[in-house]
Amino acid sequence: MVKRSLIKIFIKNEKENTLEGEIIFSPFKKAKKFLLLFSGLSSIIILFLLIPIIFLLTTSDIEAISQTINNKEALNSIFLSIEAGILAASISTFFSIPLAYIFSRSNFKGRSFIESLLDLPLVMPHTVAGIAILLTFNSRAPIGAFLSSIGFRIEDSLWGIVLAMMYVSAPFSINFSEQGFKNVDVSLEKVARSLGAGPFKTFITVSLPLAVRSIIIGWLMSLARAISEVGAIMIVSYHPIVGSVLVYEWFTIKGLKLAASLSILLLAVSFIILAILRLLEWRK
Amino acid sequence: MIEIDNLMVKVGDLKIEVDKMIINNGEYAVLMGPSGAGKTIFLETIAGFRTPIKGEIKINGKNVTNLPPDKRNISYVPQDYALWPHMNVYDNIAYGLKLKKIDKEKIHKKVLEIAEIMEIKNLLNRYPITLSGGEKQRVALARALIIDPEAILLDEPLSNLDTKTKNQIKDFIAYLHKKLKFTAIHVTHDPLEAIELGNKIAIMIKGKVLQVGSPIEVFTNPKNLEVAWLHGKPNIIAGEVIEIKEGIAIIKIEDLNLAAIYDKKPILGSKVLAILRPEDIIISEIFLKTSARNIIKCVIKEINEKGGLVSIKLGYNALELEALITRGSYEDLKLLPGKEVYASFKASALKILTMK
Repeated sequence: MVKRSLIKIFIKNEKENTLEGEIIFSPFKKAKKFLLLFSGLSSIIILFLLIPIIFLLTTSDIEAISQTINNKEALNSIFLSIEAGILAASISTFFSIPLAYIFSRSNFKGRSFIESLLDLPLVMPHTVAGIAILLTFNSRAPIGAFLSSIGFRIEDSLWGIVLAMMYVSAPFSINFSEQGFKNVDVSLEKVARSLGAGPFKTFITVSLPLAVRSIIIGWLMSLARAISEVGAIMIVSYHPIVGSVLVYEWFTIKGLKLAASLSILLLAVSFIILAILRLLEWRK
Repeated sequence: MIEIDNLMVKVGDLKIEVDKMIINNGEYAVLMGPSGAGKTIFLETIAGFRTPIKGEIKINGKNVTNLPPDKRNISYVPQDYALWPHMNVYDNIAYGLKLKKIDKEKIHKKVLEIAEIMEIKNLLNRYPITLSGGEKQRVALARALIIDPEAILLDEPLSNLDTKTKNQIKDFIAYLHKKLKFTAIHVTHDPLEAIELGNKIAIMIKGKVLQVGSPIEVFTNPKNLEVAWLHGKPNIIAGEVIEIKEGIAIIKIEDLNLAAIYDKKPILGSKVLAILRPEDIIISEIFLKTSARNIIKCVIKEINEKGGLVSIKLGYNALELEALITRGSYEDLKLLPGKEVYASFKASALKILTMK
């Protein structure tokens, strides 16, 4: 939950960066009461988001954390989260790039409709997404039957986890890649074409290298989102168990304290991703 | 040779129609017109970025109307130069050659060669973001010329530069064209650019090419008012050189002999274009004896107030001149359309333009 808020903050930042101009006029200048009211209300929301993390960090202790680190099940679940997350983010980024390029370079009828449809996974309950994936890809459904015949059975398998993660995280790689391509001036491509480069060559030598930063950010966002997923994964493929699902399981079986120490480890992974994102942002 | 036949392109409400235009090999053609005339769209159609509704574009006899831009061998230089920020100057210039699968050594040689001509040899390892406007323009030209294209298309190449750099690059392009004899189509709204660079000028207004000809032809016989409107600022006067003495050329316009200065000595008997800025004309009610060598008795045709200044359109037979005076002197002189006045200007205010 906390992580999701952080992701939202990041998206907002990215959009602000694309706005032209700076704030020259500050509405808070010489307006003490106004400033006081607004910063008071702001601190409430900041505290609301931060205090739970502090409680999470203080509930557990070193002993419980080291016990968790030495727990094979816990460690495996975290590595599985990362592995499946990287797979999911990479596959969806690979397929998002051509789609994002089409979106950024054409203006066909119904484009914005398709774009909003593709954002649907961001707003639907994740258990609902899980049910939809299970209905489509279970090994008795046509697509699922085909996939399991070539070795991608989704029930209780890594591929089920990857599919569930992809479904909820793909919108990030699509949106960020699209923004990346939109920021590449068309005249840069025109010159390449006029100098003899075909459309594919132009894409590889000009458009893609110039959009790659945004694409990487999209990949990281997808990864972060994938690792944080619970609902869809629980419905599609509860086992092998990933970190986020194990937190829930420990919470119901082993109690709050151990669940909290596992949470801290997962939180650390999220913070690393966030730190890389910020680094990319800062290097811009 | 680029031949355009019966071409029609539609973009929104604007329809661009060009019945016939031929640009010969080695010719520097300037497409001139106000903004919104459709010049860039026309250029993009020749480059292959836009598909015409009808008509044909032929390059050296080959119909390229339906070919994609990369199959036309025409280099496009957009207004913002569009240097690739992720490549250094060397890689920017070498790009077109690398596509042609030429061996590395040959590419290296050619890049150095063109960098030498463009005087950008010291910039090869730099990235575009570190370059000045003039340097960027030279790199863009090098990148466009290195592939030895059928033509290069320049979209307002001087518009993003400050006046000093603009004049430098203008002279440089003229020099470059003389040296390399490439075929060019240059889009601009500046008549001076057209006169100083073009072998051929085409005037485009509201999507239509109204007149094509040499600079002298276009500015001597404005075929219609819309073309004449383009002369507005500054005054461009066409005449014949009848005498050159002590650094002053006498040019004959109508039955007037006007004294003018020049940078490059014009040929006696040749037709020339001279520029006269509206603010350099002095208007008086009576004939004044001053140091000004040129005095014309003319009729006021039109008066327009332009902010703090007043624009007076003067006529002498077919010759039209625009003068700019202050509101104060306008009121003092009680000028009215139809009134006869004297327009005086110094020889140094009338300058013969250097053409190819």
